[in-house]
Amino acid sequence: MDKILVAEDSFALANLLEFVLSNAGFDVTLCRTGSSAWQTAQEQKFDILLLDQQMPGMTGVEVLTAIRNDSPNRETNAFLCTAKTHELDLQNLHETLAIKGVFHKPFSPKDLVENLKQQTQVSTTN
Amino acid sequence: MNAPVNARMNASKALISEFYLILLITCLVVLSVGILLFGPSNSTFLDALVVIVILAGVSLGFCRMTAISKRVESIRLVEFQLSNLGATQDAPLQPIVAPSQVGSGWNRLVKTLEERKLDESIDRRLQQNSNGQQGEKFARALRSLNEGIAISDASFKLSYANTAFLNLLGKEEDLSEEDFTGRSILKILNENDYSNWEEEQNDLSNGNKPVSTSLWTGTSVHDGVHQITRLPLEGRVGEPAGFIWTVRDVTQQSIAQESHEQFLASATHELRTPLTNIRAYTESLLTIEDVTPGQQKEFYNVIHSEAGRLGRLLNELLDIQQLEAGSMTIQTNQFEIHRMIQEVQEHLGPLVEEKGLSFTCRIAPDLTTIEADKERVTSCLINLLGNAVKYTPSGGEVRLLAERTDEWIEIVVVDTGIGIHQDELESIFDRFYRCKDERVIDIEGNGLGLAFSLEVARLHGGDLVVESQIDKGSRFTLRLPTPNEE
Repeated sequence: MDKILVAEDSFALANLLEFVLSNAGFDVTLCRTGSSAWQTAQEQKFDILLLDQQMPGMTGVEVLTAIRNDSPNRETNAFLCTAKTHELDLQNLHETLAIKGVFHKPFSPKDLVENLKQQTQVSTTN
Repeated sequence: MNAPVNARMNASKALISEFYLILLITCLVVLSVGILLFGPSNSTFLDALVVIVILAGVSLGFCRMTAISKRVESIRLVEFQLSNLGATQDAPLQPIVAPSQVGSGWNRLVKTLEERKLDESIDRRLQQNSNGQQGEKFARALRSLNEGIAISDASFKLSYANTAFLNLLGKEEDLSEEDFTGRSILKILNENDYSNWEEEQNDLSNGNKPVSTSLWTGTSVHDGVHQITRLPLEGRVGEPAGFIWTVRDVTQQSIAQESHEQFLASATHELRTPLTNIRAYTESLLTIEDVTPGQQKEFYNVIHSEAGRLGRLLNELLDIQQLEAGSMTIQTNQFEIHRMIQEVQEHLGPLVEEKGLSFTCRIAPDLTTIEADKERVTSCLINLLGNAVKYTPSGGEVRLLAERTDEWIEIVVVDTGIGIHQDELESIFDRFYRCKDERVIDIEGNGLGLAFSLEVARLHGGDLVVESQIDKGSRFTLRLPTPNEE
C-alpha cells in the first residue's frame, strides 16, 4: 500500500481527500498545517507528498523546500494543490523542487486519484 | 448679389450718366452756337433764347466739370497716400477734404483705422503688463507644485528644475536650481539607486515618444515609488527640441493598487475554497459506489454548509464593495438597544451553549435607545460576538457591555479567548486577513467580518478599537457617536 502524506488546512477538503484516497488504496497520513507536515515528513518516509499551497504557518512550497533540504523524503514524488496558480512560477518549481504536478482548485478528486495512481505505477515500474 | 458689388455698379452708372449729361450739354451748346452763327437771324427772341441756352449749358458744364475735377482730386489724394503706405508705415493716414463718395469713404476708413490702432495699443500695453504678472504667477505655481517638473535639451541636459523636482531627486539637501542646471537627468536618476533602474533606463534613454515609468526607491512599494514621465518638446519632425520631465511620488497610489490586487486575489481564493469542497463532495457522491448512507448524509451536510458559506461570502463581498465604492449609505433611526442585543443573543445563543461558554450582558441603565443603522450595527455585534465565541475555548467567558461616555456610546465585547499577537492587531482589520496562529485554522472565517465592522463604525462617524493579550483574551470596543441633544 502506497503511503501518502496529505497537508490541507480546509477541514472539509482534508476529510474528503482522506476518504477518496483511502478508498483508492492509499495509506493516508493527514496533516492540517504546514509545520506539522514538515514535522511528519522528517519522521516517516512516504511514496507521495500532496501539499496545499495556502496553509497557515508554512506554505506548501516552503514545506517542500524544507523537506528537499533535509528529510527522508528528499526524493519523494510531490504534488501541489493551489487556488493561486498565477502567483506560482510553476516552471521554476518543477526544476528546483521536482514537483510532479499541480492540481488547480476546484479540482476533480477522481482526476487527482487517477494522476496519483499513475505516478505510483510509473515509480514502481522504474 | 452682395452690397459692395451693388455699390460699385451704382457708382459706375452714376459716372456714365454724368458723362452723357456733359455730352448732351456740349451738344446743346454746339448746336446753339451753330444756330446763332449760321441759322436765320431774323428773330431777336430766338437769338436771345439761343444765348440763354449757351450760357446755361456752359455754366452747367462748368459746374459739373468742377465737381468731377474735385472727385478726381480726392481719388488722386487717396491714391497718393495709398502708394506711400509702404514707405511711411508709422505715419498716420490723413483725412481728405473732398465732398465725394470716395472722400467720405476714405475718411471713414482713416477714422476706423485710427480707432483700431488705439485699441491695439491699449491691448498691447495690457498684455505686456499681464505677461509680467503671469510669468511670476507661473514661476510661483511651478515652485509650489508637489509634482517635480524639469526641462532638458535633446541630449538630456537640464535647463530648468522646480523645487519639487530638486526635493524628489536631489540626494543632498539644500540643492538649488543652479546645482541641477546643465547636469544630465539620466545621471541624476541613476544616482538615486532605484532598484529597477537597470530594467527601465532603456525606455527613458531612447526614442522621442512620451514615456512613463515607475521607479522603486526600495524593494517593495512601501519603500517608495516615483513615476517618471518624459514628454518631447516640439522641434523639427522626428527630432524634439528637448524634453519635459515630471516626477511624482506615487507611493500611496501604488500601495492602494497592490492592496486592491491582493483583495481580488484573496477574494478569488476565498470563493474557490467552498467551490472546491462542493465540487469534490458532489463528484464523490456521484462516482464512488461504496459510500455508506451515514457518509452520504455527512457529504450532503458538507455540501449544504459550503453552499451557505459561499452565499455568506458573496454577501459580505458585496457589502465591502459597496463600502469601497462609497455607494453604501446608512439609514439611522432610533431603536432600543435591549431589543438589538436580544436579537444578537438569539442568533448566537446555540453556539454559546454548544461551546459551554458563559455569556453575560450589562447595559448601563441610562442607555435605553441609540441612534444608528440598526441592521448594520446588529451585523457588527454578530461579527464581534461571533469571533469572541469562536476564539474562546470551552469553559471561557464572553461579556457584552454597553455604556454612554461623554463623547461616545460604547459597546464592548470582552472574551477570555486565545488572544491576538500584538503585531497583528492592525492587520486583523484588513480584508481577508486571517491570524497566523495555528489554533485558528479549524475555525471557519473569511477575514471580512472585522473589515466590515470597522467600515460600518466609521460610516457612523465612530470607530472600532481592539486590545488583546495572547492566551488571556481580547476586548473590542465599538464606538458610536452620541446623538445631538436637543
